[in-house]
Amino acid sequence: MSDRRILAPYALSAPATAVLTAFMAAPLVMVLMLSFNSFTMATGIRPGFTWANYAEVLGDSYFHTIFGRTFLLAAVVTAVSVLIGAPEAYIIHRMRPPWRSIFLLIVLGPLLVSVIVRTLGWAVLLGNRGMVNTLMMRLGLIERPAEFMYTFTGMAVALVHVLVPFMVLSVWASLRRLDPAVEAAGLSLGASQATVLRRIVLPQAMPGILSGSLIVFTLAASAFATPAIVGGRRLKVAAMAAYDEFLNSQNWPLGAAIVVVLLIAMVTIVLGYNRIVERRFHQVFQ
Amino acid sequence: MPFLEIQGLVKRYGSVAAVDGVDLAVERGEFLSLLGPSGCGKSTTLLAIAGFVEPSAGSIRIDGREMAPVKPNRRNIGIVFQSFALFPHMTVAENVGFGLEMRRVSAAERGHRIAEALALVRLDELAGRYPKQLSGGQQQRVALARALVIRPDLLLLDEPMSSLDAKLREEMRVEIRDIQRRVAITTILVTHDQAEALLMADRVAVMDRGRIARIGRPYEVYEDPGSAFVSNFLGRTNLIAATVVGRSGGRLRLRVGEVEVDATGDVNGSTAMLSLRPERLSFGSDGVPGKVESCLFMGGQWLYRVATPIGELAVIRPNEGGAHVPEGGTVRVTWPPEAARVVHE
Ligand SMILES: Nc1ncnc2c1ncn2[C@@H]1O[C@H](COP(=O)(O)OP(=O)(O)OP(=O)(O)O)[C@@H](O)[C@H]1O
Ligand SMILES: [Mg+2]
Repeated sequence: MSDRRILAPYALSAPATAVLTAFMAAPLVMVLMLSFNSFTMATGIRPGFTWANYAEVLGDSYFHTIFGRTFLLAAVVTAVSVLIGAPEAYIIHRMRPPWRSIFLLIVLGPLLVSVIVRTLGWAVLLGNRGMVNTLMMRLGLIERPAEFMYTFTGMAVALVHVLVPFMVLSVWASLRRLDPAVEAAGLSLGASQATVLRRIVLPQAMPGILSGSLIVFTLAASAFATPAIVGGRRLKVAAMAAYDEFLNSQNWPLGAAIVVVLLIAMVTIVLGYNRIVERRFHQVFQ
Repeated sequence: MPFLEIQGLVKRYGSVAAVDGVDLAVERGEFLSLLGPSGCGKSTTLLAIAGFVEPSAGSIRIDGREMAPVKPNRRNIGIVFQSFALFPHMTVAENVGFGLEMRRVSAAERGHRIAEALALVRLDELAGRYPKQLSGGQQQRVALARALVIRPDLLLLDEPMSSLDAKLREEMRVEIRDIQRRVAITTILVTHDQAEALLMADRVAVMDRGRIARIGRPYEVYEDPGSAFVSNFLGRTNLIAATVVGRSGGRLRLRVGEVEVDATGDVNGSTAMLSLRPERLSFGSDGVPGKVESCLFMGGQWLYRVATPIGELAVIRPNEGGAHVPEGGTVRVTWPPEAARVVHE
């Protein structure tokens, strides 16, 4: 009886464990092993054990630029998503019932469309010969097309568009647990609406903002399609660099090393962030 | 002039009137209970006073000042919400100090007044805790301290004790009552618990479907409820439909089946509703004959159900240690003349 009790959780989680092992852990281990192999144009991939790929990724300024760009992009996208997504979530939260679900659907709607389609939409709209540029030039507002495609700003804007729904959802979920009477209590104690927002609503939305940031940051740092289409070859990010090593240079070990470095960097950031958040909010929010 | 004066207050949600013409006057320092069944508009009335619900019609004046243009954060009203509504990310002391901070009270003065307020609700030792780390009763007292510390002109309590267990609720009733007396603050308590309303308030207002059905001192309202609704809502009562057979000097002669009884009160028309409080009934040698159907022990009292020619009567007798009438026993039910009252339907 008691034996069964103890075994039950393992038995119940066995299918999920099997799926994760087969499709997550195994490929990861293979990528890790691959990253220690050696490669030359002449011989192709050679089994063996070498740190050379890591030395290249960590030592070459070409890769420094790419990783620097990747994490800067992720940080900017996260910050902008907070600035747009958190107020958006609060406004939706304050709406009356029929409107609330309608606007939530509008916010989440883009998630139903493939990232590629949405990003190509940006390209059509904002390319050098895109609708916005053409229109503005016709109207004589600008002389040369405003650069959007193949710029860092363009990548950031397109990624924010793709990822902001995750922020809205996350913040909205934490606002839903907010007792409306708490805001009223703040007002009745003499606080202005702005003070209530800053001192009472914001701290309680913080867990949602923080977990939303985590989601947006990791998705932005590992994003491939959007930076590839909007940023192009000139502005590579880490995921594209790995893709190029695998498919263009055929240098799989180097590609694998890039993937591993990206993964370790992200896990470190996520864990460190979680640690800080938990220490800060542990007592207040279980 | 009354301190709080409400005239013709109406609040409509769509076609439904949550509050449907409430007139109310509360004196300075008075403790008023707003009592009524669920959905009768108590909370809506309270929220309108606090400024969180905009009235569809009517006026609210505090200390002679019209409240319509005054924002909720400028009304200087202390509220204890049904859910307590404490700030979960602030400690007890920070919760209590928030209102003072908003009033730009200096830090030193603030610390002093927080300590004073926490002492008042006997929570001095828990100042550093977060709301999640407190019991329901402690949270409630924090909410009370937070509302009192700003020295509000008016204290509004919306079913503040509904989530406490019976024992704690009884203690808190006495405690809130004492605190209210000590700081002499005008208070409105919303509740649907009649015992709470009678016990705590100087005056009780019974609400029914958005209107005030009866208002007065607890004893008066209980003894002379006026309507069947109020008499049934305030305590329990035996309601008996009767026909009027005669009138003399404020008393009515009523007939129920074969039996004739006298009652206080007056009605137009030939039918009347007779109200007999169970605790005013007793067993005697004359009176209405009956048979005890059931007999329940309630600790301090016995609750009998007696089948009589005028209908089934609930009778409550104090437990005085002696023998009780057993089930199936025959009795005669009597009452003092003033216990029989006529009420409106
Ligand atoms: N925001 C609202 N929209 C629509 N109807 C409402 C709203 N608030 C209250 N009502 C309705 O108004 C009526 C009175 O509500 P109110 O909350 O004042 O009742 P109450 O007396 O406080 O009841 P309870 O004892 O259950 O708290 C109810 O029928 C309720 O359904
Ligand atoms: Mg209510």
